[in-house]
Amino acid sequence: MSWRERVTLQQGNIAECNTEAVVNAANSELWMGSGVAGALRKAGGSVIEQEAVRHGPVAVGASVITTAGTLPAQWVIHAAAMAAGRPASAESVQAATASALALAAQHKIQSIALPALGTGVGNVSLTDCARAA
Amino acid sequence: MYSAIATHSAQHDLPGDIRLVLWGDNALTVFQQELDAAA
Repeated sequence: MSWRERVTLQQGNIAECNTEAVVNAANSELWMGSGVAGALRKAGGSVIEQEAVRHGPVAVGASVITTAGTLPAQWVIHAAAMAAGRPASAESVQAATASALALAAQHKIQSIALPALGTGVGNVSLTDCARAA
Repeated sequence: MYSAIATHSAQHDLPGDIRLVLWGDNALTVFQQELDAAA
């Protein structure tokens, strides 16, 4: 099966996904503020953020994994596509996606949901995000 | 993101189910176009 056949696109709230893991559009400090991070924290509880920041700060492009609080998913992979308060880039989106997938492989995760990393406060265009890089 | 997924798939196992969960009709359109272009 090619990688394209494994990818599906859907519209909705990633916090409601029942995949094994969901990916958080994180910053390098791993604080969970607005956008995807805020939606995941609101739905899953602040325990997710408390666990995440114990791993931080991390380099831009790196990812860490935490439990998922009360989310339907079992794991949250926090992919740092930007430094806190700074814009993201196509390169940082690519690195964050790659590190999230590597963590998923390490944990033998078979289903994963990802948001459009870096397209919120990170200000990367949808086209650049999709291609990245 | 597609570039990273494709690169990862060439070197490692990929999850069998990869969902890109997006906000807004425009996001779905753009990501579908780029997925088609990656064929």
